[in-house]
Amino acid sequence: MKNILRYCKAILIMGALVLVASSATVRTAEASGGTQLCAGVGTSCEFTHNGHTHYLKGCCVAY
Amino acid sequence: MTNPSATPGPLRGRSYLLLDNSAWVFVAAFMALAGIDKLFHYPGFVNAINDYRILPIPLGKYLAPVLISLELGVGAGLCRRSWRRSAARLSTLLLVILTIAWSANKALGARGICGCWFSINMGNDRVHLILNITLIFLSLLIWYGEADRPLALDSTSERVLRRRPLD
Repeated sequence: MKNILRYCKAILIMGALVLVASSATVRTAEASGGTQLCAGVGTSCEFTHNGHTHYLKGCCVAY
Repeated sequence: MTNPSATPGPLRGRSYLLLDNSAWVFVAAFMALAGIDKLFHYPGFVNAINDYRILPIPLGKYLAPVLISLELGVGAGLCRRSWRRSAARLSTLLLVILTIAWSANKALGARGICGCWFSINMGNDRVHLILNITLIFLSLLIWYGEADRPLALDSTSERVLRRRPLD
């Protein structure tokens, strides 16, 4: 039983690592200007500078 | 207590040690990094919480410090043997609540970000959901696995027992 639990732990850790490694990307799209999904649109996340709408750093994710 | 290296089976010695400890190390690192990441992007995290449609009023400025503290607390708690079981229970509870809140938010049609990570993208929503469920099961396994592991005596307890031996 204990060994089964140990194997389960190992499988779950490997699964989580695979998910993170395959899907996680460093967030660089904010600088490069990709398509973005931003939190708090219309709230303090959004601000206008020189006539352009900008988002507070950390409010947006690329998708 | 049985000696792991003497137990028959395919796993022995270091393999046992590695498998027994890898789960809490992984979850502790994950939680601590998530908390630290949110500290570095605090205004974004407050806004992400405010964007949750399931909240009747924007509670970001109140919930953000609580959630960050809980994540960092779980990360630290998992590192200490005597706190590990409680920290694993708290981790499970926290992940379940956050996953339900995020799923409900998506179901209500919100387009805001999850607020879980800011320095990295966690792929699409489905991958993120599967990862959360994986972490929930890992936390449960840590909680269950710690139940029958006797606590090692720390130096203070050993000194007390040496002075006043048990009958």
